[in-house]
Amino acid sequence: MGVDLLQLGVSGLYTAQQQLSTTGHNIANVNTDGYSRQRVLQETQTPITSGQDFLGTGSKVQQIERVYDEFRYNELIFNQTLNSGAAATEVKLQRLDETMSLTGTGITDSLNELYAAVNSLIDIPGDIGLREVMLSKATTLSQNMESMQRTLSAEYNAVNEELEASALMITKISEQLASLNRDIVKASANEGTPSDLLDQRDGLIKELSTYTTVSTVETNDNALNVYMASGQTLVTGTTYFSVQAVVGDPQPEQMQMAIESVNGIQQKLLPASLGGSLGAIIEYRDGILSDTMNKVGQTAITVADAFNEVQSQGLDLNEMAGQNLFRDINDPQVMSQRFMAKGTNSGTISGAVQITDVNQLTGHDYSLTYLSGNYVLTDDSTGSTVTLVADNPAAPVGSRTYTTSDGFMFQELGGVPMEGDDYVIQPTRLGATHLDVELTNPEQIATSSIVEAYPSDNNINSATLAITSVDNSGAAGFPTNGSGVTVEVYESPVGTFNYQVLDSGGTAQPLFDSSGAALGTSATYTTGPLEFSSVGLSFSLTGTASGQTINAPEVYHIDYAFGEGNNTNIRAMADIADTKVADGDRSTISDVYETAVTSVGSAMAAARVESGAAQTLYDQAQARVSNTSGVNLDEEAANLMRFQQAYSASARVITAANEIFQTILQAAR
Amino acid sequence: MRISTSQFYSTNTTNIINRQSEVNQSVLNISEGKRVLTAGDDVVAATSIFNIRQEQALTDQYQTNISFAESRITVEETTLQSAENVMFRVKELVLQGNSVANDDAARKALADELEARFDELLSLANTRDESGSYIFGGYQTDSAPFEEQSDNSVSYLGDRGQRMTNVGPGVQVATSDSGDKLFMSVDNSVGDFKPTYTLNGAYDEVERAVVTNADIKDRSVYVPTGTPDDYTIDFATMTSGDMGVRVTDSLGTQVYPTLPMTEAVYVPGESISFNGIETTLKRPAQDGDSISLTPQDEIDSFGVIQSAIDWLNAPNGTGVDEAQRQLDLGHIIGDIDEVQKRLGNVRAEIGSRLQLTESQNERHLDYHLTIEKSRSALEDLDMVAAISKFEQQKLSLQASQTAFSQVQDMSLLNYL
Repeated sequence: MGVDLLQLGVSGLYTAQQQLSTTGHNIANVNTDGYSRQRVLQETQTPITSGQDFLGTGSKVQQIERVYDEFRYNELIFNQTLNSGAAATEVKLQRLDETMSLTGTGITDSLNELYAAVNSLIDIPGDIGLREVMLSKATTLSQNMESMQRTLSAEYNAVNEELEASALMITKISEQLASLNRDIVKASANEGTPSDLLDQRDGLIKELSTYTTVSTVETNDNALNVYMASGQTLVTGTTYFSVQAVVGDPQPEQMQMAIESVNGIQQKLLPASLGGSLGAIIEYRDGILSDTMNKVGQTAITVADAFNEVQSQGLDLNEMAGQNLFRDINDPQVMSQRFMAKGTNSGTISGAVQITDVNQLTGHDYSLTYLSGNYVLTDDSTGSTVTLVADNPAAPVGSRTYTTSDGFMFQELGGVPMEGDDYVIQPTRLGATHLDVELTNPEQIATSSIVEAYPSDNNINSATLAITSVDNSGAAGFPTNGSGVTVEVYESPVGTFNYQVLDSGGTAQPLFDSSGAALGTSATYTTGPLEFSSVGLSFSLTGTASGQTINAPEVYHIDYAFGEGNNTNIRAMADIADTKVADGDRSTISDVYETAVTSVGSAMAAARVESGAAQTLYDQAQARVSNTSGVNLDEEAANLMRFQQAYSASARVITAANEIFQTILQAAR
Repeated sequence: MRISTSQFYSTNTTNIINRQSEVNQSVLNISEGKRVLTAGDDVVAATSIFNIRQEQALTDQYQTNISFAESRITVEETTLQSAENVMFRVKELVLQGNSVANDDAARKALADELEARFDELLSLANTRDESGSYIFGGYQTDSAPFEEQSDNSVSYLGDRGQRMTNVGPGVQVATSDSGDKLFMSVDNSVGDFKPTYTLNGAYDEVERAVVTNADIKDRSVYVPTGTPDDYTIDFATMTSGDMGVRVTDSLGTQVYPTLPMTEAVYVPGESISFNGIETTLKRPAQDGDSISLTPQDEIDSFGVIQSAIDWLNAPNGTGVDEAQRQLDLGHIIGDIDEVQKRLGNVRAEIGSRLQLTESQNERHLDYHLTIEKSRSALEDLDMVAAISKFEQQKLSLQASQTAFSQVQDMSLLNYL
């Protein structure tokens, strides 16, 4: 007995039909994102045995295969994460680079304009109009600093907003993944391949990988367990976790990402483990952006300190001691804002940070930990640690001060530290917001020096006595109007120089060396230059002042020099422009700001290169996946032809079977 | 290798987009005319460009300072020139007044003109600049530094301050001189002492001994004995018939000649030294003449003119009175010379200050130009190169667009 030809034809028909619909499905989905083309696998139906012969019974569809290469797909996911991280970094840095280089020139320009106004006062120190111009230039500088700080803060907040938005997206994705897992498990129960659901799930994984590093493990029942951020479980089977952006500690605005389980337990995610755009923007925020804010702050602090210092050395138009031009860098409110204690600390210490030497500031952030009874300070940028030693070990706990070699001093403001407590110190982060101009009256600009040194006409040597600083204008013997002091120096015996300071009545005044130790009312020195202080002034004598024995020493008159026409102090202010006052005597004020600009530029250039490389890798991986799983219309067109023919041929077989049957029927009539 | 339809389109689109982006960047650079727009474009160049701009700002500032300084210095110079002219006229008038033929009325007229010159010098000393500051007050520029007192003397109310300005890196130039330096602390023509003559009226000779100079030559030895440290030079005829000279200090102790000699022979023109002081006397002396030396190393210009006025107002004399008048005239002329010398010296200083500012200005101009060239080389766009690159990129864009349009409609379905 043969096999029913009709059945054979029909089976061929069904198979060809299925092929055609699958081809049609592929063609319809040629532009569907993430679609993996499907292929029908045919196989022969179970043959019938007849004697020693196996008779074929036609074809059937074995399965509809999803053309998919897992390894290529995983490669794509990996490169997607890298690419999206590099692209996010590039976009952010490009913005920052433009801000610093283009709008940021406002700071350098207004600083130069302030110097120009100072220089104009050198010409006519008493002119009220010019003084007002200088105050207004100082105000413009202060406003530009503040506006730069606002812009940078806005960038900082933009990152936080992005973190929050990303958290929502990731949570939504993980919820969808969980429900897809459920559907796929159900659909796979009968050994089929729910290709379209799988494509959907892969699409979600790809989207997730833009945010963070993703790894997946397929379970036996075709569910996919998804892990993010180098190993944190996001989805297991049908259970999903949500992701939150949480406030930081101790700085609330330093937001972090956290995974939250169903029963509300939050697990913070380490930024370094995140990868993708999340990792990139957090690294940008805590890295170059924070550095830039610190450097801008350092610039502002250095400006304030330099100008205030010169003001204090002079007298204003009303013969009063020069007051601060800018807000004091160690104003109590400002000092306490530089120190933050973590909320998880068990101790109760609160503290403040006083800047002691602007020249030693690094522009870095610091972490402080209380370990085994000592404060350990870590420089966050270099990683170096130092155990701090209290300035006065006998001081009670809660009032101790610790001087560091990075230009600031930490002081306890009450409370008790506990073992393991962590604190954060940011000496310069907020500097630019505090560059407020405090002088309102233009007469208060201290253009005049307080005292001047005049060598006597009878001096025979060319030694120079300079007044290096005014330490205490209220000191006994300090030169006043009409009553100056004289410094007398002579050499006797050869090689030994004797010096003393006499007031207007001829009485010798107490002398102190450069470290403040008392030397009596007359002293000697052998090698110059000589640094000493007396009557509230510090002096420096360079050159050889031999004089002509004790009868005729070299004489220098130190007179009270206030005058409307005295421009010595305002000249010192103009000198600030090219004096190296920062980075350990290596940088001028403008240099500090410029370092910030070039750091950003350099990071930007590097990011651009990296982004280009990452994009190339991603494109290649994408190409590989697409070339395996993507639909090729020409191929499908050819298949259409093929399967149409097969269909026609099978239809013909049915016709032939029918004709055979008709013949039999005819024969039997 | 199999390629999917979506990959095909994607690759081609990416190509076109990349070409477009390059073209866009070129357009941006060309329209700005700059190669380096932000630090990210070329970090090393950006650092140099910034430093150059800062140097230029500093250099420009110095040039502004130089122009301010030059105008101040020039004002001072013109004023000093007028002051010198005043002193020339003063000397002329005094010499005119010495002619014996001049009668009292004529000398009175000269004295009147001298008074006018005195006022003129006073007004010059109180010159104000365009901002209303008194230029010769030292640091005290807000009120007139020179004030005439009721006794016709002039007091200086300013100080010794000298304003400076920065005209180059580490280079400063003075933009003022104090009235003290110019008018009040002129060197005494005699030296460190002022001589006062007490002549013996018994002798009528007009020519008498005059102190040409009296200086503290060796300060290491000089020890003042009195306050003031006066010395008296006495002339007395010696038993040998020569004129003898003897010097005593303020306490009456003989300091010259060294004891036990009570007198030394007076040799006109030879210098006498005692207590580190050296003094030279010229012309023959008369017995009984005495000269008193009072420490005074500075004279003031107004005092000199006033002395000249007083001298002209005093009547001509004869004999010992004329001798006194001639001695006084000698010292007045000497002092006028010193006043002129001081003015001349300061004008010379001013001349060298202007030379300094001029040479600094030249340097700044050269420097500015040099570094501007460097900046331009780093920052500015080489237009020619940029435009040819732009043309090239445009061509690439066109090519990729053409290629795409030609292959995009090749499909098997077109033939079915």
